[in-house]
Amino acid sequence: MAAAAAEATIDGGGKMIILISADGKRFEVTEAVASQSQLISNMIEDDCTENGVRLPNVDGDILTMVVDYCNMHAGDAAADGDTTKASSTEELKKFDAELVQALENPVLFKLILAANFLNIKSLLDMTCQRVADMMSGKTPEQMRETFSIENDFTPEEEAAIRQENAWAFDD
Amino acid sequence: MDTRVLPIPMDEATMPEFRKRGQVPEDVESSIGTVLSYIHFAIPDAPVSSHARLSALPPDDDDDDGVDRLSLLPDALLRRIVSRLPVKDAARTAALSSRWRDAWRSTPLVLVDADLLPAGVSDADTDAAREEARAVTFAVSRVIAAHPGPFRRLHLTSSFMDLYQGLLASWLQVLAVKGIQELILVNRPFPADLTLPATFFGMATLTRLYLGL
Repeated sequence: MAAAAAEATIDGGGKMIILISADGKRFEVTEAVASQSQLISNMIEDDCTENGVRLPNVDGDILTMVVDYCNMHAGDAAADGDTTKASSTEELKKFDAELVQALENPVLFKLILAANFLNIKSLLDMTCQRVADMMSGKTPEQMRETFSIENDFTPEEEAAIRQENAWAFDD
Repeated sequence: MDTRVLPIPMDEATMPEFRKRGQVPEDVESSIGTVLSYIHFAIPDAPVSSHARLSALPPDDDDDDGVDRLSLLPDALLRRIVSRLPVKDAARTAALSSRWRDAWRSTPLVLVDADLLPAGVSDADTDAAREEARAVTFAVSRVIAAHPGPFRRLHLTSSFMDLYQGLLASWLQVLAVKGIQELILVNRPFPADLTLPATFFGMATLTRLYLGL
């Protein structure tokens, strides 16, 4: 099964699917690539990808990134030992690291929402981890500054919250 | 596992006990260290890590348009992010804004107690190591008291339970009541023969367990 999927990816002989972004950009991808999205995978199973898949809440520039990611990771899911297409683990790691490092507000959040909507778990995990990494080791003030979070507590309310979990604020 | 926690060094009082049994305390200590390192090798990696702060993240000052897109995410995604934070950072999010007030409490708890160790782990000094382990032990008590549950995954590998066997019993009681899925419980010797309290068997929701007492 793995070999078949890899073949389809190599020669493009697999069934192709058209993804259409919110702004009307069209992306032609193989089923193997597209089905990394659980949403689209379900649609393929239900045979409703004939006329293209419209993704009304994903912009073209974000979908470009998603398609790049899925293309890169298609070999990953398909086959080990396939040296022609399947990217090596190191290559993938490097690709992921570079992708995620480059992500900043607001693209990062658009990508999170797209990964969530399309249900691509690995991409969602990776992007949520990026946000967590941007938050960790920071004080609430620094977190607010990083993400432009508005503090709507009164000083008394905030003090009470800090008191409640004083162990979390002691350094 | 890169956050390996070292055994607490043996104290002066324990050494003669081993000598009386004809053992060399230093040998016992080093073999226990070896056993502990095997245990740490065998247990799963921590799901969250406090090492992110070391990865030299670039400053986040660039194309900042002042829109708080993070807080606009749906609750499920906020919880997903919170569950990836080391526990102190996760709990601190409650103070960000009213949107975040309950995010940590409503996210099933992931706790890696090594995250509660102060930076710059001491190794040689017995008293300092014990003091540090004691601080972690009390911090764990506060965390599991503060969070309403359920507990998704607890990595408790940094406590020195020698003096706190009663406390271990009450921890397990709390885990049983609030619901725990995955527990990794490894004592930092000594003692090497910690008794498992009866409350251990109350954890009905447990799906995965690694035990190294």
